[in-house]
Amino acid sequence: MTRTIIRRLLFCSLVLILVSGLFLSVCAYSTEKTRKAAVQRQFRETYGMILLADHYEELDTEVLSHYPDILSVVAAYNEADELEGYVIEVKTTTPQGEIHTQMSISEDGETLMALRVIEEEGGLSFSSTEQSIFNDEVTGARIPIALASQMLPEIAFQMEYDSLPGLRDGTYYAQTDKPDDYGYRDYVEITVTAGRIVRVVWDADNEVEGMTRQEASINGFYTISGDVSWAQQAYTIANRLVVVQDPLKLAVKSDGTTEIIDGVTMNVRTFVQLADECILHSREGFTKDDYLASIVPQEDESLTPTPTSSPTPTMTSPANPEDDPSWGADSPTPEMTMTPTPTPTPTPTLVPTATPIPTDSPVIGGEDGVIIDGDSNVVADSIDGLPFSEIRTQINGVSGNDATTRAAITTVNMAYKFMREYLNWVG
Amino acid sequence: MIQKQLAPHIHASQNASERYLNMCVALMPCIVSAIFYYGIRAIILLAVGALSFFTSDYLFAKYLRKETMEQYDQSSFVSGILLVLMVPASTSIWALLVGILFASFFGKQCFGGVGCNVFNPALLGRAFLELFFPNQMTPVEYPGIFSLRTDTLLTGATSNVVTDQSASTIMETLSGRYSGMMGVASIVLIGLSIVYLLVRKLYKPEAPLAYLFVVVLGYFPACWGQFSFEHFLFWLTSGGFVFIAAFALSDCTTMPICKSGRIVFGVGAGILAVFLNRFTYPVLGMVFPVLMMNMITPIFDFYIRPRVFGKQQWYEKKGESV
Repeated sequence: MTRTIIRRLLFCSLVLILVSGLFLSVCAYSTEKTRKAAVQRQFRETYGMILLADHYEELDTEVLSHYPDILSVVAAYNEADELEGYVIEVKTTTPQGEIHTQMSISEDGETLMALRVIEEEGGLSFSSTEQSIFNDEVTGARIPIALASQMLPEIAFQMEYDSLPGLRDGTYYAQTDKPDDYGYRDYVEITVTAGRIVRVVWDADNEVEGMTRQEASINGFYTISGDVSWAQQAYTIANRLVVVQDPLKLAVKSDGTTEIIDGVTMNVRTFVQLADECILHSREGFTKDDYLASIVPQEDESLTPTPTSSPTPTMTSPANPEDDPSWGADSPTPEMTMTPTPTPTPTPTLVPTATPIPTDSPVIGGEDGVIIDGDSNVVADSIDGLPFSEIRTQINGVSGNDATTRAAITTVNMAYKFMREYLNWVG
Repeated sequence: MIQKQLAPHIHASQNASERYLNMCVALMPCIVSAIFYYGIRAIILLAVGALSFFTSDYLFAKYLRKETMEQYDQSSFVSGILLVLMVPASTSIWALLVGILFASFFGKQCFGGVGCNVFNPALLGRAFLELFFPNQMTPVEYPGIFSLRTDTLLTGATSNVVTDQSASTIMETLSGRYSGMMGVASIVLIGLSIVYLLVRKLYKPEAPLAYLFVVVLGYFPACWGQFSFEHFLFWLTSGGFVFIAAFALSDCTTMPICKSGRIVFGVGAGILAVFLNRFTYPVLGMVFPVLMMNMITPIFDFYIRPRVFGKQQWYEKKGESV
């Protein structure tokens, strides 16, 4: 091939590129207006039922790549070009089947404005009446949402108590200066999520024995007066603090005992003092890691035992010990399972607002991890990956159609998680 | 040095390399259209398509058939570019590479390489992608949506916004401004390519004309009750008929040798295209008719032969009947 041929080919290419580019540019310019109008018309037809707006704009954000079940997110604007809300389309698969929903969420990402179930497959189905009942419950609700039957009674109860002001999210820790006569050094660990205390652990390390007080109590090596073991009482008081949020509300008397908590007869002054210290640390942002880092040199000097708190076991027990035969007097060693402490979840920036819980809601539940009478009563410490403390609204759901209700709620909560991340991302 | 080549032989001012480079030049308007609407994504896919097809052909030719580079021409680039122009912008690089590997090996190298292939390799690759990566082959995105997005190049992109195609104006249809495959949309630009090929005397119009004639006639029974000029224009371009007529039916390797054979080929492909477009979906109506006719091209070549000049006089001289 000669140089002339190559030059000719290049020249022809250039001419074709220029002519094509010019043609496309002219066409694009002349059709831009009609195209925009056509796209907006189509947006209105697709999303108008959910959120009628003057114009729409599809979001193209990196955050979407974290949510493969979210099909599209469209921002809706009014005539003054002010953001009115978002329309989110979610298609997700649950063990029972697939559900496809479309919903509109307010511009602050906090309120579900409308929801439409487009399609259900597999074992999921919503009749028009059921969908209407569901829509009545969720329209205008603050998100995230949970079925009342999914919530623990304690958690449902705790939402009636306000959280302490100024708490920062994280895990906080406090321990006594010196071990007691038996060599136990008490510590309390508190986890704060979304400004609420969501987890409290009270235990004591004993370097000499090599066993924590809870372990010793469970195994019968550490006994106290009365019928209820130390481990059981420590669990009850710690759990109560999660509910009431404030150590003051535990009503500890001058002798260190409290009368308002059933099953707690021992002296809990140490617990209250350490919990207060943890709350102080939370307000100052002095985390568990900071605390442990600050006490290690001091302990090296004094040769006192370093707390071996990692991983700290969280105790789970039956909801009502009296109902459980393994917890009764016939069984000298109460069965308690030890699970590693979960890593603190990423901190949501939205401050939760407690939503009053309907007193007549059919709350069913037990302790974490306990399954009571079949699948419909399964409870966990989170819903759709959201901690209970973040749930804003509980609904009763469609009676007799829990599976579809839950699936629809899952799509709402998925949209909430997206909005939370997206709104943080855009600042 | 005389080089042994496969038949048929023809004396022409252009060699195969120049011919295929001219094809690349003819594809420029479609390439510009793809880049104009799909931006950097189209550039990356086109570069990956052309280079990977070339590399695959070269490696197979060198290590499988022990051929030298001198026997090689630029048909790989043409096939690679054609294949990319026929996929939507949402296609991932991995899917494209798999399609190209399939097209190169099963469409070309299995039959003996350049000039020996029975099927059009680009169409074979496109059919493979349609069958094995259907999720990525759905042209749902609106032109321009992915113009600057490269993050989904490895995974394939999805979009839920399906623009209302029936709302496209004539100008939009002519310029290819609607959801679809990257380079097959603009009828005007494809026409520009055909003009170039005709000027360069590289285009044999028999098969494309016969094909388009049948397709145009087929519009009326296929779209009974929907007649309108806009709809007809949109059906013709979005179905890929014009693109196929321009580039697949002018492929000298897979087309019948004689003129009448090419006409029969075009008619057959046209009938199948209308039928498949009506009863399956547009991409099948675009790709499979040509592949099916490619299969029986050797039969056309056997039964529909060119007239042998002087044959009748020779028989008359000998006093025998022809």
